[in-house]
Formats: sequence, C-alpha cells, structure tokens
Amino acid sequence: MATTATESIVVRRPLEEVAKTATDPGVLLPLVAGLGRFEFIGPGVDGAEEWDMFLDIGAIHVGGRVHVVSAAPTLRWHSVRGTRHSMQVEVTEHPDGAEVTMAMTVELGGLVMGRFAELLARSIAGRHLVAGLEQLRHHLEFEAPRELP
Amino acid sequence: MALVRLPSLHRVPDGIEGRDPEYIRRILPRLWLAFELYFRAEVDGFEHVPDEPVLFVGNHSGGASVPDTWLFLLAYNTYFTVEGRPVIGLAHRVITDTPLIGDLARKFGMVKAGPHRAREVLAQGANVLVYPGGDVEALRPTRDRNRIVFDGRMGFLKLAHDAGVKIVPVVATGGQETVLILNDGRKTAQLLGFDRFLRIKSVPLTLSIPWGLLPGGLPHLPFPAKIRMQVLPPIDLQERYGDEPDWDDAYDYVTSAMQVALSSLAARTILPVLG
Repeated sequence: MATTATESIVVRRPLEEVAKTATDPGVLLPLVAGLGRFEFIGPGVDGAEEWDMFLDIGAIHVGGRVHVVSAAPTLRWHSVRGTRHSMQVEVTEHPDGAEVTMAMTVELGGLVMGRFAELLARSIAGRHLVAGLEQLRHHLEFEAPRELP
Repeated sequence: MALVRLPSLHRVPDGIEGRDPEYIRRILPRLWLAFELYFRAEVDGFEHVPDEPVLFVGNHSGGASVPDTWLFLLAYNTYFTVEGRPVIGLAHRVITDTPLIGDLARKFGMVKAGPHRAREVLAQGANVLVYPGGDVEALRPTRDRNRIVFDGRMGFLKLAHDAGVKIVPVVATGGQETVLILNDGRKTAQLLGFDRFLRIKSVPLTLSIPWGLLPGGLPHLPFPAKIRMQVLPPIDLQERYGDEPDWDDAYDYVTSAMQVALSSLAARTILPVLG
C-alpha cells in the first residue's frame, strides 16, 4: 500500500530561475529537510546523487538514504535505505512566475494499522511539503541573488 | 468610524496605566497551570527580543477567545518578569468594551486598538503587541489555520517605521484548532453592515462549546488543542528599506517571513488538536 501527499506553490520568479534552484539537490534538500537532518553521501551512477535525509516527526526520524536524479525542470528521488518513499518535484509555468509541485509517496507495511499510519503520514508529509515549499519560495523571492536578464 | 458605540462599563483605565503588575503576578501561576495542562503550550524564541521598545507582530487564532494572545502575554511576563519592560497588546473593542473581560484584559496590559495609542505606548518605553489581521484572521476558516491572513493591512509597518522601532514577528499554531470555523465570513459581515456599524469584518459560521453552530464568534470554551508559539528575529524596516519604504514590498517580506516560520511550526504537528 502507498499514499501520496501533493502540494504546490507559486513563486514570483522566472521559470528558469525557479527550476534551477528547485531541482538542485544541494539547495532543495536542506530546505525540504529543514526540520530534520540531511547529508550528502556522494555521486551515484549516471549523474545521480545519494543523500541521507530524515524528517523529525515527534519521537521518530522518517527517511533514509535516497537516490536523487535531477533534470530541470524536474527532480526525482527514491529511497534505497530506511522508510520506503519517493519524491517528485516539478516546476511549471505560471502567469505570476512559476509553480512548484512536490509529491511524496510513502509506503508503510501492515493492513488496518498500516492504512491508519499511512493516513497520518500523508497529512504529516503534506505539512512538511508545505513548509519546504514556503522556504523555497521565500528563498527565491527574497534571499537568493537575482540573476541579470 | 463605527456608528454604534458600546456602553463603557469598565473601571480599569484604558492605557499603560491600566496594567496591573501585582495582579499579573498573582494570576500567572493559575494561567501557567491552565495553559500547560490544557493546551500543552510551548513558546520559544524570546532570546531574539532586543532590549529596546519593539513592535510584536503576531498571527492570532481561536475566534473571540484568542488563547494564543493570552499565552503570549503569560509567557512574556514570565520570561521578562512583570517588573521588566511591559508589553501592551492592542485589542479589538469587542474585547476591551466587554464588561469584566475588558477589565481583565486591561489589567493584563491590553488597550483598545488604535495607531495613536500604540505610538503613545512605544514612546513610554513599552513593547507593543499587534495583530494586524484582526477579527478577519482570528475568524479565518479552519482550513486556513496555518496561513498568515493580514487582509492587506499595512498600518503596523508604518507604525514601526515612523516610531523607529523594530518589528519582532510572533507566529503560533494550534489556536485555530480550538474552534471550528466553517467559512470565510467577510461577505456576511458586509451584507449585515457589521463592518460599518461595529467594525466587525467577519461573521463566519462557527462550531464551539457551549454555543454549538453559531454565526459569528462569541467567547467560548476552547477545544484543548496543543499551541506552539515561536518568536522570530527582529526586522528593522529602516535598515532594510530606508526612509521611504515601498510598503507593498515590506508587507510581502514580513508576511512571507512569518508564513515560512508558521508553516515550519505547523510541520511539527502530528495530529491536529492533539499536537
């Protein structure tokens, strides 16, 4: 069984600028994992990267080692250790600039309790995605150096 | 200007002179016990507050009961002590003009909202607490509980800039889980004329104890939701925007910084209400 949380945000910056930042694991992962811990492990095959990424959720740490593949305007990762999950980040055009959409899919074992845990996990993951997207938006709109046209 | 004036039945002066440190000292243990047990309250970040008058700018929630406002006053008065720099909160007249509750609020350091009052209090060396979103924010729909809703109001920026004080943002989660608010009540308030006659800008459908389903928000018994509060580093508008700020830019920046912090705080929630 699996459950997916999807959240989007509009960033008032040009598409190329947003895509460059949102699909750079070195920038995005610290933002998304701002409420947890992250560490760059090393380059993988085919230009991919491996990271350790955990979210602090109450008394537990959810995450593990993820295999990240980036090709602007999208970024994808899937877990190779720890909590089984995958993530997709996509940047699309928007009249006000660009829209960033994040979708996280979590797989948890079990039947009834597993379903219940997934239900909780979806709302928790959704709030973490919103927090990460807000940090990304604020970073791009107010903190990142502006690229010259 | 509101056309209907509520009768003034209060006995405590409406101003910094109405704040009663001894009263606050007496009531703090009871409030602390209530907030720790009932709301499992957490407040962090007071180390960011500089030793000079500042304008605290917060998001507040929970309809007319606004438990996060009381929590902030409780936490501030314990962190800085009741003899330290006082904090004066600007409150809607619905609160300050209500018999008994108005007196209680004034003793605790609340005054009727108004820019001239805030300037007076800042000039007297106190900190000021404002909630720019007013009743529109406190009565925003439950689905927007983790959104900053200042409704485009920028008076707080001009106040801080003109008074030469820094803004210290304060964000809180959980307050909007103490009451269920079903819709955005701004159109209803306009249709009923409440915005013109009573300065009440929002009349949503609410579900609360003991009122049940009710149009508008009356003081109620809050659901025991966990409340988390975070005080953020100060923002110096003079330093960031100079003598003639672009108010739209400044508004976007302050609300954006607060939204980031609020969303991060909300991400610590495992289950709404339970915390």
